[in-house]
Amino acid sequence: MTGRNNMKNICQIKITIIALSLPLLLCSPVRAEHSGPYVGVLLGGNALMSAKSSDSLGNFSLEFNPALQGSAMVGWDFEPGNPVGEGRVELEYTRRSNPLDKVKFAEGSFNGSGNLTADSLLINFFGVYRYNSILSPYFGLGFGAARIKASDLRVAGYPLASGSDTVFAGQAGLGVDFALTKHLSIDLGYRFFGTSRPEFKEADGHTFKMDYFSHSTVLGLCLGF
Amino acid sequence: MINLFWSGVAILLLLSGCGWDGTPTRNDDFTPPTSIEIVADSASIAAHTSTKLSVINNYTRDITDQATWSSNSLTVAKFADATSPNRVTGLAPGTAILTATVRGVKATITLTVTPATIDTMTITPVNPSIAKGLTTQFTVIGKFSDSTTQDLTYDAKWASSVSDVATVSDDVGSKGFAQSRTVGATTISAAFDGVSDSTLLTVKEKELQSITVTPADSSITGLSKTVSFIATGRYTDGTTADITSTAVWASSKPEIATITTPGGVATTVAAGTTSISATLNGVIGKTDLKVTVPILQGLTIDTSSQILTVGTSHQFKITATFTDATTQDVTDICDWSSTDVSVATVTTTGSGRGLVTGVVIGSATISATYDGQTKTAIVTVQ
Repeated sequence: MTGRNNMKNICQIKITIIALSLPLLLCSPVRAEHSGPYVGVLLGGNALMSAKSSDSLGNFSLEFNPALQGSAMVGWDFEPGNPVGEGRVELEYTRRSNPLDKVKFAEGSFNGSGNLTADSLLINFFGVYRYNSILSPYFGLGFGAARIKASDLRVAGYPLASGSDTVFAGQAGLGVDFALTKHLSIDLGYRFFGTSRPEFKEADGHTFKMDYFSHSTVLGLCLGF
Repeated sequence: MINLFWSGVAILLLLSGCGWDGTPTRNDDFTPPTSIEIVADSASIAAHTSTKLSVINNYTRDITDQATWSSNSLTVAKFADATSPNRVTGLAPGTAILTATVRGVKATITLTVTPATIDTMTITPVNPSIAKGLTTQFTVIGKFSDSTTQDLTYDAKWASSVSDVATVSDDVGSKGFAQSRTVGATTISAAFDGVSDSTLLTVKEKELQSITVTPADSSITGLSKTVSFIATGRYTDGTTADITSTAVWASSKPEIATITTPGGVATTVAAGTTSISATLNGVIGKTDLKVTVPILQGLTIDTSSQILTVGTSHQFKITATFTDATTQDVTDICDWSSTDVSVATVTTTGSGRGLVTGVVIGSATISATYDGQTKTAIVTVQ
């Protein structure tokens, strides 16, 4: 039941993001056209999806609690009218750390503990729609690598897995920039982040691979120069 | 751009989903069981015999491989060696409490060792016959002086009288397992505590086990094309042989492709997929044959105008070009016509189709139609 509730919460988060974004698109027109370098920070909530985990003995499920995440990025805004398109490219570092909530085996569901932490470094490419408004919707993709660390994962208090793995990572993101001034803007966004399957060693010697996909809502500040 | 943005929104919502909701198949080996139970093949055994124990956890899952075993009376019952740690042997009449421990959780069972002695033994199967290369598992049941019976397969000593014909294992873990080697007969015997039984094992000639048809899942383009299939038989002794000429061949849809017996040569008839099978001694091997028909791209005619004198003839030739770049002379399967048969006639049936003969002075248009396309030529008769 907890897993289903988590799924419902995740879906509600997504719907809420879209619902909140729609009226903001109708705000009064104050054109914001920053171009050039910028830095930014993002804070947000992160919901790690129920993860299918597989070893030579079968599949089991890992469910995590939502947690905060933080990002820092440095990038470049292309000037409006740029022939290669309007948008920005950035280097983004993000840390997400989710507590293990439940572990589901064939016998049933058990309480979990420990944390799964992902440190990712991505290059993001965002296309930005600029029109005569303080609002600039954007959509884009990012690619890079993530180091995923399993810190003392336990099931019912007994060791499950520990270790870390570095894997390919990618994300898709969308959101809206609110221009406060020509150089300062607020970023409200959504990110769908995923990696190739990290591999960890189980306490009993087997190794397992797990899915890693997460939904995030982020709010942050960008300072242009 | 705004369309791209909302397309991105839609794609994200569609693709992201909410995580894995499948049914776990892995058992929990991480947490200790809350309780365990010992299951015995027999809780009462005769002295010098053995029985196998197993352990199930609170989810009724067999976790015998995780258990360690002990006996409270090593003069009555003791556990076997590491190759079969869950097998206990009765040493002398009495009772022993046997304990299984899994990650600190214990369960016990009381084993009674009786003074019963062996009366008779019976091996099964009786007088079996197997093909060269195959194996069979023998078991032996003992009947004791107290009228009880016990499986003595593990405790008996096994032997084969002619080990060149077949061997029988006396090794722990594979007792009574016979492996045929050559054609012939051998006596398989099992002995326990001075009593024995035997049976005759006959090893027959190798038998066909499976047939592989190659080329597998082939595809061919064009009609009236042929494909030669090969049938390879695999026998019980692991050998293989080409049985193309002895197998009976069949096509599940002869309207798509026919096949010859013997030989295994298929001829395409129409577009579609048919199953080609080779059968020998009741064993069947199959593969699919897909027939595709190329699409006609165009027709060419050897000449678009021809001058004839009265009474002379010209044989026109029509060539079809297909999408797979192949060409085919379709002269004999075209529909031919002349706009004025009083000036020039054209043969429309038989193998001489396309033969135009001048009748009287004048001109006529000769048409050849194939698969919906038409090619014409003007014939002038002088």
